[in-house]
Amino acid sequence: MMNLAANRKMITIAAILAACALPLVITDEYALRVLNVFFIYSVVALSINLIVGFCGQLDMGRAAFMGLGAYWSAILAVRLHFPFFVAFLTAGIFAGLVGAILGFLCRKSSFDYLTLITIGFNVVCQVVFLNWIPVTNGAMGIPKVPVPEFFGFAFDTNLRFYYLALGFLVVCYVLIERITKSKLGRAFEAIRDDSIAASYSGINIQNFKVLNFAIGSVFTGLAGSLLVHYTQYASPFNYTLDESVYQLQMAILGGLGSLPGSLLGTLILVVAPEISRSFYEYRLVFVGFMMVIMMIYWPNGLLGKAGVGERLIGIMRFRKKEPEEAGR
Amino acid sequence: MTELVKTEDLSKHFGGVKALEAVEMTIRESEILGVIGPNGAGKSTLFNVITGFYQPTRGKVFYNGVEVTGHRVDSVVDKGLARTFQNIRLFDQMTVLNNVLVGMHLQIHPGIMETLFRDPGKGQKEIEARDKCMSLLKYFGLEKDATLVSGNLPYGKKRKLEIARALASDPKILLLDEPSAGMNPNETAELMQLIDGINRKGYTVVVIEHNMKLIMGISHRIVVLNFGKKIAEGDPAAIQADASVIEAYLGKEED
Amino acid sequence: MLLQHLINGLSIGSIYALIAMGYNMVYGILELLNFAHGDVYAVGCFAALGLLTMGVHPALAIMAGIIVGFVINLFVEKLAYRPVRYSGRVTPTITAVGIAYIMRNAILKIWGPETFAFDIGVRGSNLQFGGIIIGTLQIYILLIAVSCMIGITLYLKKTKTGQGIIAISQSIPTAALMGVPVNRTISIVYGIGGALGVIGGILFCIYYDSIFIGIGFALGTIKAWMASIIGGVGSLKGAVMGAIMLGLMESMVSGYVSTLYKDAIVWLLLIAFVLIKPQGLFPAQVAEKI
Ligand SMILES: Nc1ncnc2c1ncn2[C@@H]1O[C@H](COP(=O)(O)OP(=O)(O)OP(=O)(O)O)[C@@H](O)[C@H]1O
Ligand SMILES: [Mg+2]
Repeated sequence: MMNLAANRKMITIAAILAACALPLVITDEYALRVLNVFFIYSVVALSINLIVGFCGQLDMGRAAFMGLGAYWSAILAVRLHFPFFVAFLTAGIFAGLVGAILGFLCRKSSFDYLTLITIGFNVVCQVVFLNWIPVTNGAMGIPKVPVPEFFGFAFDTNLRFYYLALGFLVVCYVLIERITKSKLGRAFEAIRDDSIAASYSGINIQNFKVLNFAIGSVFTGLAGSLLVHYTQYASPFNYTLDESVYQLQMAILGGLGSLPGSLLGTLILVVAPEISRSFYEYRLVFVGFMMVIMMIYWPNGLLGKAGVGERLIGIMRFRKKEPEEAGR
Repeated sequence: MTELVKTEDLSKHFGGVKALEAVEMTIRESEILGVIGPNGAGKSTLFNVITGFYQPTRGKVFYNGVEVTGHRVDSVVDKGLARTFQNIRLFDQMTVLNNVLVGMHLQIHPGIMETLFRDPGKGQKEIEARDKCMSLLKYFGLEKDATLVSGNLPYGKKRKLEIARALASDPKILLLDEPSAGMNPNETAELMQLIDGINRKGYTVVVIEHNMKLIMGISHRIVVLNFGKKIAEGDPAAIQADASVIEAYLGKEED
Repeated sequence: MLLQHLINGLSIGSIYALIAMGYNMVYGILELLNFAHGDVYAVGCFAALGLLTMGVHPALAIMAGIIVGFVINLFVEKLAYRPVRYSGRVTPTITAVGIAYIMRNAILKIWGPETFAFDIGVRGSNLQFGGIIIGTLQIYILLIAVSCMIGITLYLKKTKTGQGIIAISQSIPTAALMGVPVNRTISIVYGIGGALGVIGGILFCIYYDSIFIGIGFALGTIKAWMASIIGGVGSLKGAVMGAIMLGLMESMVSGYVSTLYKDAIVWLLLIAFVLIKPQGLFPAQVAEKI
């Protein structure tokens, strides 16, 4: 096991280095753009994983929080001329606060209520983005959002932005991984597996659910902000319920409860519509079928516990039949 | 002997069912208290009400002289009560070690710095906690299973793990709801020794049991419930001779 | 004016009630947050539309639509929900999301996102009572909705299958021990849920003379949820009460506040409502037994 832990660290560092060197191979602007979007959506998928996969709270309205982060950041940067990093950081805080408030309102409600409320909240946000014209500029959206800029250095090419987005992903990934492996993460998982037993372990379920929702929302909001500074345009049509479902599927495909899985799931669902026009057209049908088929046959996704990936590795290793080991 | 827990007129009704009716009982420090009674007598409900999982319909619960009626479960646990469940409730997708670590929830205070800025599992608090959990697992003979997913353990080990998790919160009182259910005679004998050992370490233990041999063998005192009412209380010998207890059980067997 | 809004709210509310009832019957049994309810019955409604445009007699077309809703739900239950019936809460819910997207996009593929006229040839006349207009259509809708509700209540109370349904909703293992054919009964519940949905959906189309993709999710599933938030998820009585209150609420909001923000305001009211009544007006769940 110890061996595995050391290996893991090496693999992680190797992966980051490889990612840093990737632009040497991939110079195509279009491909870089897809990768940049992938990095940002990975953080969204990770935040969904933190809420749905680790804490078992089925949030169906993540796009709303991306939208909150995006609009907050766009309004601050375009209308009020705040520098990028202020807009960006406060976008995370803003989304986190809204998440905390929403979580607080639902803290006593059952599983179903939370899901319903997140859907309702998504609808509310969309209506507001679309119709609160003095602030959000309505259907026109907010154009000309400035590119990220730190102390005069502008991340204004796809290549420059590549390293910013990669850094963002690495930092978020490390933080989320640490959270999931701490006392906090264990409490989330305990609530997911058996909330009654969790409260009998002294966990204040309501508080921890609110905390989980707030932390997840911070990351979603940050991702929303970064994306809007990259595309330079906040559009009210990017934060729909369909979008939320698509993002949820990123986390599901990779495996709820598996952080590397979220990256893989996001990669597949970000790249597939780019390489196949018909996947793009029918992406919601594909997602529908994927959801049904996966829930029946591989509820743990590609990299989750006892997921497809682990089974393949298991076959390759010719392991004896013994109770399966946890992946950590 | 000090009374750790005391109930007054404790009653819990589910619609027309009087699961508990005016129960007055105490849990004394350092004892093993047996709770027996026919099926549906209200034993589990007693645990549920004492620990705050159910609001009592009437009556009060005191812990160390302080009223805790209506407190949330986690705050009652914080005061020093821990329990196991009649139907095992483990965190099925988590490892054995993590199950016990969750049990230590109230004792680990890593802080934001240690959580976010140390490698996972390398913080001081985390290492200490893990060592403590490993020695607990060792006590229960589960140290080799520490990295297994708890949902895949065999039944007997699940029962033990549940007790280990409860003990991890370092409670003053350990409430066990039918710990020997589903165990074979060998495992039951081992369990008796375990419970006795835990008690000798200074924990107060309350056990619900259907296994008369087990309960008579280890309890210092026994409380008998029938149809929600306390019908007898006393040491094992007195309970075995008590006419109302015999009637409660025999009356049950006739139908 | 107030009275007019009340009457409009009541007739829209009674349609919601039918939809929410079908929804909550299913929920009461499996505690599945059925995302697909609306999209499944929308298939039934569009099937009816297809037959109508082919010149089939409206009564036949509507019957066929109801049967389509019934049958699709049977299949969906068997193929998609049954395999995950005992897999916790998250898994079946996600399966239902998947079904919803498959159904919705199937409709979009065939009919597209346009709005079609839905004309079954009943032109109701309007009755005037001193400024208040009541369409005879509204009265029919109310009558149909109420008779469906009474029918379902009687079915649950008086028939053997109905009793089986109630037994299953309390405990599947116990019901199985008592000899209730669990799988068959659950299939029937899904079928009835789908059929009730189609009836509600078609009343919708008749009320607005038109049909479009939104009658499934936006006007169906979401309204059923809203009704359940008010009434309590899983309670039939709550569903009906919640739906009627929802109809009234919507009619008041669009009458007095804003049509544009109607949905957002109703949702906000509901989110606020959850603060006060976290389990709805008629909580269906009893204390969990441990
Ligand atoms: N949550 C609940 N809702 C409704 N009735 C309940 C609930 N919990 C317990 N009861 C009822 O209260 C009575 C006492 O139940 P309890 O589980 O406390 O009995 P018990 O003594 O633990 O029985 P057993 O030996 O079978 O475990 C029973 O009639 C039971 O059906
Ligand atoms: Mg019991």
